[in-house]
Amino acid sequence: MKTFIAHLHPLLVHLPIGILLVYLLLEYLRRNEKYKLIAPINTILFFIGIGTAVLSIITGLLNADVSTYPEDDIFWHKWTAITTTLLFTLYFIIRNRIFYQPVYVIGFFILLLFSIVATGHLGGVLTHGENYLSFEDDIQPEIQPLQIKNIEEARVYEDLVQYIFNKNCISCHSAQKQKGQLRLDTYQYVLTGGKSGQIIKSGDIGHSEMIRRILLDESDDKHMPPKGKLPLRDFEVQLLKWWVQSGAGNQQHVNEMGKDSITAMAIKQFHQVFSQQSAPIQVERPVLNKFDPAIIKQLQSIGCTVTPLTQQENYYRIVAFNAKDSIYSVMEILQKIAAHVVELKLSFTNANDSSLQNLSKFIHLEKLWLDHTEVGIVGLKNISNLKDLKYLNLFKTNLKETEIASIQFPKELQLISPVPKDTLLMARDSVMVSAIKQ
Amino acid sequence: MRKLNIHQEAKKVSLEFQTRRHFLQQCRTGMGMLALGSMLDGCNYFGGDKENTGLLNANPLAAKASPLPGKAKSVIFLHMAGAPSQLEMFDYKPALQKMDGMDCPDSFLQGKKFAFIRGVPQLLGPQASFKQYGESGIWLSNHMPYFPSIVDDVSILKAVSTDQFNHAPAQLLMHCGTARLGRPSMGSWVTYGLGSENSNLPGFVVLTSGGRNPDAGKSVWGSGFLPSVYQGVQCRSEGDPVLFLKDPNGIDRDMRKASIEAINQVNQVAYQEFQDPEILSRISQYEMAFNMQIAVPDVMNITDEPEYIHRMYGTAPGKESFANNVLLARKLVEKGVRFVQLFDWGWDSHGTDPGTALDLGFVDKCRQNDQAVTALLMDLKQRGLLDETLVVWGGEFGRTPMQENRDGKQNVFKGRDHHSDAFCMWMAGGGIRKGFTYGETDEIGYHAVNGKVSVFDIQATILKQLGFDHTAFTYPFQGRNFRLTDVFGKVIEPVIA
Ligand code: HEC
Repeated sequence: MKTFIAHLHPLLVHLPIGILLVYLLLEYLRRNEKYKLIAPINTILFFIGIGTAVLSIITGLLNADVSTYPEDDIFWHKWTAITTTLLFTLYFIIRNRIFYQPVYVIGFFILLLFSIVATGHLGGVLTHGENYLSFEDDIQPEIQPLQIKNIEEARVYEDLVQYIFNKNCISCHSAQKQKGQLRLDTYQYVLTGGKSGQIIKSGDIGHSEMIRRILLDESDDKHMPPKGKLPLRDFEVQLLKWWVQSGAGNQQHVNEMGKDSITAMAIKQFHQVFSQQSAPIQVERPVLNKFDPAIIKQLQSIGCTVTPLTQQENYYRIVAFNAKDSIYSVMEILQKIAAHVVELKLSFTNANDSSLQNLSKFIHLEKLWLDHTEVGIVGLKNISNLKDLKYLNLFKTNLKETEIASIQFPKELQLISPVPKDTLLMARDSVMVSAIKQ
Repeated sequence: MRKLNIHQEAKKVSLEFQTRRHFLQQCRTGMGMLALGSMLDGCNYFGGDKENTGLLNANPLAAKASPLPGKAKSVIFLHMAGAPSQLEMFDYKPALQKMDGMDCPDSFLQGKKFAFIRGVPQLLGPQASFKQYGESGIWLSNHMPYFPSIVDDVSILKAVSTDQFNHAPAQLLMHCGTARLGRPSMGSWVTYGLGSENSNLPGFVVLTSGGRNPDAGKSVWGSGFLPSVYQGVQCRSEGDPVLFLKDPNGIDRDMRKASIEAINQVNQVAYQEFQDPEILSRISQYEMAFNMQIAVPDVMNITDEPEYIHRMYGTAPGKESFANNVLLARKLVEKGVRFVQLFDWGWDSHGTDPGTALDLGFVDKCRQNDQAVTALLMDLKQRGLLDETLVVWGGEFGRTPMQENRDGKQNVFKGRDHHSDAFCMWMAGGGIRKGFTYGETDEIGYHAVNGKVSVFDIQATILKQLGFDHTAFTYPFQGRNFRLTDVFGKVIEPVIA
């Protein structure tokens, strides 16, 4: 029963809004000698208006109880509604006293008008959402991630082309809206075309209206999607071109169709960008507590560069090129914030085995530069339990290949080995050789 | 007074606009507004986000986090000043070979302006032979015998376009995002945004070779409206690397130190009083100069590099050369310099003399360039630096498929005129895709047919790799937010790995 009454609210609210607006209008007209006779009718109107307003408030309060709208969002709607009702009542009470003082009465009218509109609008925002009332023609549909594991087996039309249409076009070209009398929500409609006939000439991108449109300059009125809408990316344009060029069918799979390098690239990018699985995985690092900023000051004062990885995170990149003290003492300070250090660059310093003795505390370390230092095998052993380590630079250290081989490195570590190679000479020789062979 | 008809009245009003009285009247209010403007802090009163300018930080060159995660930490930009011919290096056009010597079709000339070509020029076939290399099967010319060994590490952009066909404006556009003077260069933007990781070295170093500075002069590494600490520091590969860095006779290092400290104390006081960011610039420049006295000669000295490195790069210590500069670039980046800008002059192959002939001077240029550049990429790779270093190579525009006919007469040597519609650049390292070409030109290499990118797109991509959204990386100046790419540019996503 309570829910039933509560759910009458969206129905009831229109009554006081309408009636009170008419009341206001008539009050305004009544100031003219000609319409003086309205007065008694208007009094009745006021009571009906206020009555329904009170009913609306009651049902509204009930509705707030039973609905799931967040308290914060309801707050302003509730209080503007109550305020509006009170303001109208106040006006009704004092109207005879101020009626012939234009400043007051007009001011009051404006206030009342404003508050009633505001109340209605806030209510609308609750039910229809923030963006419902906007000057934009339409709202971009949400983009669903691709559900395809192996892009080579995907269907060219269904999975690629239609996906692009759904994402960029059907907000204006579907059953709801048929701009240019064109629908792009199914294959049949795509073939049918729009007001100027077929939009696709299979195998001929030069004479396909659709391709012409998407290739137009962005500032062109005829460009699709129109300026300001979610634009097509280069690789999507490439895919659409490729699809039309190779027959605009709806049966083929990606691996059945010939493609040049640019298309192959576009397909790969498409897959990467729109499927969640293969999207570049951002390293999820745990959220860490803030530490005493004095430590950063201290590190800076001894010549270290301390940079947050990005402006939000509490993780750092430390570079010690200009360290004035020994790396040993740098590391002593640094170990207080060991968990926060993700990149540590000790290149060209006096880092040695003893300075690295606490290295295993740097549990989130991902990149470590020890090139051009004196580290030896003893210090290096400390990295073996750094699970996140992805990059280790040992260039120009005195470590031997056999020593390095004896260490268990984390999986997928990019290791820069100590010995410089005269790669260019080797490479040139191999090129020369292959050139001679041909 | 006689009554005026409407025509006369209009005339009178329009004449009034030219009177001295009117001028003074307008000036009075105009000047007043100007004064008010500067009192309101140069229009920044309402909109300027001071936090953003990084000037509150005592050291303007302190390393800063990028707004987004970025793959690249440093950039080496190799600019071939004069504009190398893409048709003899990367853009293989067999069809152009067949059309060699034919008159250029009218359709290519209509509505076009060239720097030197007049009348109807003749098409000029590629002055090189091409082969495919690497797993990626990229076409390269025989002028670059070394490059094949690293071609699988680079992304070649084959359809870059610009809207300038003269050297100076085109260079400015490439580096400052506008063909006119006064904007900060890319290196300045980057050091402004990221600071430097080595406080003993400048964050933005410029090295020039080829016997001349680029046509656009020092503006291509200027700091424009950014504080002047972010300006490029030009180092010389011959003699003192940075001029005026040595202690004067009779002044030792301690005395120098004491005097710099005293000067900076005075400057500090002045800064407290006036809050002028240029004072901070000055303070940090004094300090840096002091540190640089030791660090710069050290890093700029290539003589103690091992023999194999010299063989690899083709360097000759003690001379000004591109190879030396390339090796220096590697050394600087290794030491944390943020942006190294190289200009190598001498690629302007018009064919007016042997030095600018495509079959003579140009070939030498390619060879020198090829060895050093290949060595750079290999060296960065073996040092594990290529992932964090973005290397960009290119000129300010390209060259025409037609042979130049200066003033309507065929040039004596084989040469090409400036061409802005399509040319080649490449990028490597710093999160760029490996072994890839993007973009295509028509049969004769005149227009882009797909994958066309603009100079702004290149800038946007470089910034993206460093962790910036080029549309959000701005600096407030004269009441509006400026950015490197102005209102243009789109990140070239296909070349990003
Ligand atoms: C914001 C709404 C909007 C979006 C989004 C949009 N279009 Fe359109 N489209 C229009 C309007 C309006 C017209 C008709 C006016 C005109 O001819 O430009 C039109 C016309 C067309 C036509 C010409 C139809 C004919 O027969 O004349 C084609 C083809 C087209 N759109 C393709 C696309 C494609 C492909 C996309 C997605 C990449 C797209 N549109 C996205 C608004 C939109």
